[in-house]
Amino acid sequence: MIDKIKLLQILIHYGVKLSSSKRKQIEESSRPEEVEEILRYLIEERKISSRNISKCTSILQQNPKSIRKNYEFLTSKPIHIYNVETCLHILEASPTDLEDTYLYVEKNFGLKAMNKNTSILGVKKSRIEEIVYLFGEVLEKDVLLGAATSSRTIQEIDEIISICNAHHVPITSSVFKQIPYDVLMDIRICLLENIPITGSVFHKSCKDLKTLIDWSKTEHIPLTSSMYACPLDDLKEITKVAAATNLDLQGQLFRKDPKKTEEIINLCEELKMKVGISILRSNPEEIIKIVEVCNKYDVEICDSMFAKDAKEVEDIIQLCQKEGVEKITGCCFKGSKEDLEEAIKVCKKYKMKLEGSIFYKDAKEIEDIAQVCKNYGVKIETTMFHRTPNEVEETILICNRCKIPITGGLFINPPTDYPKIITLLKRKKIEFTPTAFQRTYEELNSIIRICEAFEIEPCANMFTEPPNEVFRIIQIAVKNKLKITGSMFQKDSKNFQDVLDFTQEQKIPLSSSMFFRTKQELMDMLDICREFQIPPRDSIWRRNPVEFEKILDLAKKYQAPLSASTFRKKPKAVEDIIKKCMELKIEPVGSVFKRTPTEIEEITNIYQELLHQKPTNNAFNKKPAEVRKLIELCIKNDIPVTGSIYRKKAEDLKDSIDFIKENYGQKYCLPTTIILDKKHLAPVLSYLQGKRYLDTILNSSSILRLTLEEIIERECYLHKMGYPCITEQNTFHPVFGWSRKLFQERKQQLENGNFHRK
Amino acid sequence: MEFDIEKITEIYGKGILKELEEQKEEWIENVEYLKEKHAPRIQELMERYPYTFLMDPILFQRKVESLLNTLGINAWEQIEEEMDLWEALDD
Repeated sequence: MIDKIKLLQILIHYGVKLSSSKRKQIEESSRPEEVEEILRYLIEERKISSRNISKCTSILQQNPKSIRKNYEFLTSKPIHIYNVETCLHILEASPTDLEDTYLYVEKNFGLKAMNKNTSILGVKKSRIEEIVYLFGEVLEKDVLLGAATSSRTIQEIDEIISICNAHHVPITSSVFKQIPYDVLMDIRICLLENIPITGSVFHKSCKDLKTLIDWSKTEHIPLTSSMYACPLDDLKEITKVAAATNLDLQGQLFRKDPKKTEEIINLCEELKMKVGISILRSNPEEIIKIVEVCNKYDVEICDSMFAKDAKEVEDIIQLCQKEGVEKITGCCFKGSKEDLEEAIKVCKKYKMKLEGSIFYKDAKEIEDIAQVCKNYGVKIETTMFHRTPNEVEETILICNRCKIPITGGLFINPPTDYPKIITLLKRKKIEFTPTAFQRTYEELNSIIRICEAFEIEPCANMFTEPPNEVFRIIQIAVKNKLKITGSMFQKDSKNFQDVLDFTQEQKIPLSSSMFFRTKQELMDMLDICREFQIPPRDSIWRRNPVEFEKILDLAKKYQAPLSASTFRKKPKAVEDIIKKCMELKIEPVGSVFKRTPTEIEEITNIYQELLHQKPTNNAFNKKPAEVRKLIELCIKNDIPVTGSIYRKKAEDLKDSIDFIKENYGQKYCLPTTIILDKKHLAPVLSYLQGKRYLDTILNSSSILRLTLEEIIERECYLHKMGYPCITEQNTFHPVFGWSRKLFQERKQQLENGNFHRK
Repeated sequence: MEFDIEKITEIYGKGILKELEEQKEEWIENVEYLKEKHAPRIQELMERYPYTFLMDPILFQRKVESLLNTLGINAWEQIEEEMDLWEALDD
C-alpha cells in the first residue's frame, strides 16, 4: 500500500489530476516508486500530456517495465503515436498480447483501421479472432473492430445484430455501447418519436433517451447527433451558456461538459478568436498552449489546430517550416504529422509547390491527382485538391473538348454543370471566364438575364456573386451614374453602397480598389492618411488597415520613400524587398516592388555582368530572364540600353530591330527607334527614305514620334515658309519638335498672312 | 484629361495598353503632378512619351524637377518648342 501523501506529492509533481476514489484505488494497489517510474517515463521521457494520464489512471497500477516495453514496441511501428497517447489503456496489455494483437490487426485490417480504432490494441487477439470468425460476413471491418473494443459478450453482439437487421437499422460501432434490450428500446423510441436512427442515438440507454427527447420537446431545441453523447445536466448548462453568449447551438458545443464549454467560449472572447468546431473539442489549457506555439512560430491560428494537442501542432509546424511549406493553413492539421510527411513526399516526387491547401487531401489522393495531371500534360493547380481525382479528370476532359485553357478557378466547384454553362456562354456570345464555373447553371443564367435587362456586358467578377447581389450592385451603380466595372463585385451590395457613401461623406474620389475594403477599413485608413499627410492613392486601398500601417512603419524604419508601388505587396514582402535593396545599395522605390528579393539580386548581377553598372529602376519592370534577353539583344546590335526597352517584350523589340536592320541598316537601330511599333516605323521610315531624310534620324529621331500625317503636314508648312526640312547641322527643323498647339498657331498665322521667319 | 489612345497604340504598339492599365495609378499621379506644375501640353507629352509617365511618381517628380532646373525659368516654353527635350526623362 502506498502512502497517500507520497502519492499526492508525486501526482502534484507530474501535474496529474485524480479524483479521491481513483487515488484510493492506486493507494491500495501500487508502490510509490512504480507509480513514479511510470509517470517519469511517460511524462518526462515520452512527453505525454498529464491530462491523458488523468483520463486513464489505471495505467498507474501497471508494471512500469511492461509499459515501457509496450510503448517502445509501438514507437517502432508505423502506428501514429499521437493516437496511442490518447489511448493509454492499451499500454496496460501484456507485451505479448499487445504484439499479437498489433500484428493480427495490421495484417487483417490494415494500418489505417488501426489508427482509426487504436483502442483495439487493448483487446486480446483471441477475442478479435472470434468476433471476426462469427461476424466477419455480416459486419464491416471497422464495425468488427468497434464490436471487439466494446464490453459486449459474443452472445450480446449476436443479439444486437439480429435486432438491427430486424428493424433495418445500419450497424455502426456505437450500437454495441448498449446492452441488447436498450438497443431494441432505443430503436422503438426513435420510431415512435419519428427521430432518425443514427449511430449516435445508441450513446444513450433507453431511459436516458426518453428523458432527453422529453427535454428537447419542452425546450423546443431540435436534437443533433452530438447531444446524445452529452449527459442531460450538461446539455442544460451548455444551452444556457450558448444563449447567454449568443452562440448558435452547433453540435460541437455538446461534446464537452458545460463548465469546460463556458471556459472555452470565454477564453476565445479574451483571445479574440472565433469559436470554431475544433476549438470546442479542445480544453482551455491546450488552447492556450496552442496559441503560444503559434505565436512562437508566427503562424496564423486556425480552427483545425485545436483538434490536436499543442505538441502535435508544434511538430506539424516544425515539419512544415523544415520542408518549406509556403503557407501553413488549417489543411496542414487535417491529419497526423506522419500523414503530412507522406503527403509532402508525394508533393516532392511530383515537384509540386508545398502550399497549405494541397494537404486537404491525403498522400494517395495527391498522388492520384498528380498522376491525372501528368497523364493529360496539365499543370497542377492547388484548387484541384478540393476535388476528387475523378472530378479533376472530368474537368480536364471538358476543358480539352471545349478548348478552354485550364486554370485554377475551374476546380473550385464540381464539374456537374460545366457542359451546360459552356453551352450557355457560347449561345450568349460571352467570352468564357473561369469565374463562370463558380456559379450553378441557373445562377449564371439569372446573372446574364440581369445584364441583358440593364443592357450591360457581363464581366468575370460578376460571377463571383449570386444573382440577387449582382442585381442590387448594378441597381446602385446605375442610380449613382457609375460605369459598371468588375471591381464593384468584390464584395456584396451592402458593402458597395457603404463605399459610395464613404466617398461622398469624405469628399474623396472613388477608386476601384476601394471595393476591396469595408467602409470601416476605408475610414481607418483615411484617418491614417490624413494624420501622416499621405495622398489616398488607389494602391493604398488594396491593403487592409493593419497591412497599411505596417508598411508605413517599415517606410519610416528604413527611411524608404512611400509611393504607389510600395503598397502593391504585403508588409513582409515589402520589408524583404527594402532589405535587399539596402544590401545591394539600390533605392527601394518604383519597379523594385514588382520583383522578389531574389529577382532583384539576379537583375543586379545581370547588369554587373553585362553592363558593369547598377541597374536603372526601369530594369525591374521585367523578370531577370527577360532583362537578360533584352540587354543581350541590345548588346548584340550595338544599341545603348535605356529604360524604355523594359516596356517592350523581347520578341517585339527584336521584331523592330530586325525590321530596321533588314530594310534600312543596323545604324538606324537606336534606343529611340527600336521602341516604336514596326507598323508605325514602316511607312514613316519609307517616307523619310524616299525624301532622303533618313540619315538625319541619326542626329534627331524625335520626328518618329509623329504620325506620318503629322510629318507631312509640317513638311508642307516648312515648304510654304520656304524653309528646308533639314538644318545645316543635319538635324530636322525645330518645327518637327513643336507641340501641336504651337504648330497649329503658327500654321494659322501663316494662313492669315501673319507669319515671320524664325 | 482625354488622351488619344489610338495614336499612342499606333506609334508604340498594342502592348502599351497593358502597361497603361497596370500602371494607371502612376501615370494618373504623374499627370496630376504636371497639372500642379502648370505644365502645358500634358496630353501631348503623354501621347508622345507615354513610357516616361509610367515611372514611379517619386522618380518622375525628381526627374521633372531636374529637367526644369536645368532648363531654367522658361522651361515649359522651351519644352513646348522642343518637345524632344522630354526624352531626357528616360534613363
